[in-house]
Amino acid sequence: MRPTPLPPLRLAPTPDSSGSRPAPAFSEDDFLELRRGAPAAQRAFVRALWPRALRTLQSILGSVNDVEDLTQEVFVRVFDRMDRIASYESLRPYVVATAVNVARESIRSRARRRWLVLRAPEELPELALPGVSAEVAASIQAFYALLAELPREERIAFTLRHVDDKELTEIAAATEASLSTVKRRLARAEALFVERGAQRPELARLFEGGAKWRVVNS
Amino acid sequence: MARREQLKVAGGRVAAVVHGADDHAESTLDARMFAIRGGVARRQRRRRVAWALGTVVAATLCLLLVVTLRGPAASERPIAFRVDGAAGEVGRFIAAPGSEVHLAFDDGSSVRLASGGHARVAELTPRGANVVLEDGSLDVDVVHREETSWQISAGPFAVHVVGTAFRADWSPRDESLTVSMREGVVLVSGACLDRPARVVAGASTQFSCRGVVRDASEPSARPSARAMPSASATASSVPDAPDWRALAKRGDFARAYAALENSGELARVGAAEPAARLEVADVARLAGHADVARAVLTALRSDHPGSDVAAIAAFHLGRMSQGRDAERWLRLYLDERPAGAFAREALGRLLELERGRPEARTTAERYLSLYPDGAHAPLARSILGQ
Repeated sequence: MRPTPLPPLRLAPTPDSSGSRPAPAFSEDDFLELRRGAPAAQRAFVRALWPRALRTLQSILGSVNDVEDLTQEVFVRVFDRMDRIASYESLRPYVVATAVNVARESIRSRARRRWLVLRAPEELPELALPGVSAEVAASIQAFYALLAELPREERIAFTLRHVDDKELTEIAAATEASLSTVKRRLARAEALFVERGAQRPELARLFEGGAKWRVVNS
Repeated sequence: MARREQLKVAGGRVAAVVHGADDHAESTLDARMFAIRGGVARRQRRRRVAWALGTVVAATLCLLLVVTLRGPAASERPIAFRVDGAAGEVGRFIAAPGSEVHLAFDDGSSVRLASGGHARVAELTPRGANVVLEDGSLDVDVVHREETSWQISAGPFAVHVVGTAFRADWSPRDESLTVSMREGVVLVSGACLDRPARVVAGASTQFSCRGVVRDASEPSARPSARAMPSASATASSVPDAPDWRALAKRGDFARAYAALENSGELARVGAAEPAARLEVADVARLAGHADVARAVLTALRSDHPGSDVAAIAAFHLGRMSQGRDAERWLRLYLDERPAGAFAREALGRLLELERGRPEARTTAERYLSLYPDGAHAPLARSILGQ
């Protein structure tokens, strides 16, 4: 029996995905002020790059409870190591790479906590999924439950590619790995995901339909 | 459709759901900047403290070696203790919110935590205990035996006790320790002390890594203190500005919050001791600055994962939140401290939030099994149709 198709979903605001330059709200002059520690530039920087860091974390981890804390941690680390950012062009990739590191540590600590409380791997903390139906929520929850079974680096490559829609070169920069390593991890992740996903009926809805998903007003 | 294309479509659908709308309010950015600046300050402080702690650890290890070489203890069983009559637990956070708390040890020693203070027993050995004074005052009366070895830790200082009665006052805000002796002698070591200092009966000595030690006792108990590498080199002194804690105790939270801001302590809260950070979050919340309170509590959880204070922070975040957010924080607290001091209240609040949903039945059964006479027992019974 074919599962019921997903209801139309509202598209989230499109992030800035154009190469390595920060959003227009943060200029090169702002970057120079940022390097000098100017509070106004710091504020503008956080305002401009917060969405990018947040989306990277949400893609890898799902919309977990502490994503706000984790995003703050990204900026704590970036500010603490501002002297390592050589140029305006490297600012955004550095933020993304830091977000990937924070996500990596979060995955590691969640795995450790699951072991400590003797919780089964599929019993993940509930994701924050406001405004969606129970069917959609179950599919998203199943998606991330399956991702939690993948090796960590494979999971990161998979989500950056398919959820965050990053190019392979961007993934290589964000994960500090070679292009060939990224390809290998991605291939393995895709194979594992498809193999195990076939046994999870909640995931079938995510694959429903051949047409490209598009925005529909609710 | 090729596998990759299918995965891309599926990923896009997931993205549309998990990439929820962000809060762009300026007040939210304010809270984020506050939390980020605090986090950066904490990181920088950790690097400074790591250097200082290396010295303290070396001094402590030397002392332990001396104690060990003196011979085996009479008994190999660590001493035990009670907190106001109840069994004490190593590592558990002890607060004295309204009145003094008494820690009674079964070697006959006694420690009294004055009202408003916070402490914990970090270690128990057959020869004594290591009590950490997070902030406030302790009255210590250690019974002397041949092998007695106690330590009171406060910030970068350690007071080594072999059988004395004294009072220790530690202010994390001022980073100053005052040791006032009634009987016996103690040795005080610290990262900024060139050598351990003796404090004898009748003496009251203040130690601070920010500047010169003030000493009212004999010259032999006057160590040379040097400032921590990044501390300002001024003599320690009591500030004249109104104390925010005193204002908070009077219930004047608005002025207490203003005092925190004006003194700069609010901006530095990330570097404060965990107990003080909880207090600051309380003041912020009660003064109507919920965003600041949340930022302080979430930072505290991030800095001290798995600790008692992190769990308490989760509970407070649950109290401050609504709906599903509140539920998640309360469940986190119950996961981390299922038998904690706030477990009953957390479970009761969770029951209120789940009321009307199927999962409320499971929570109600759990509540009644643990707290059959608790405040939420009638609600639990009504949910179960009893």
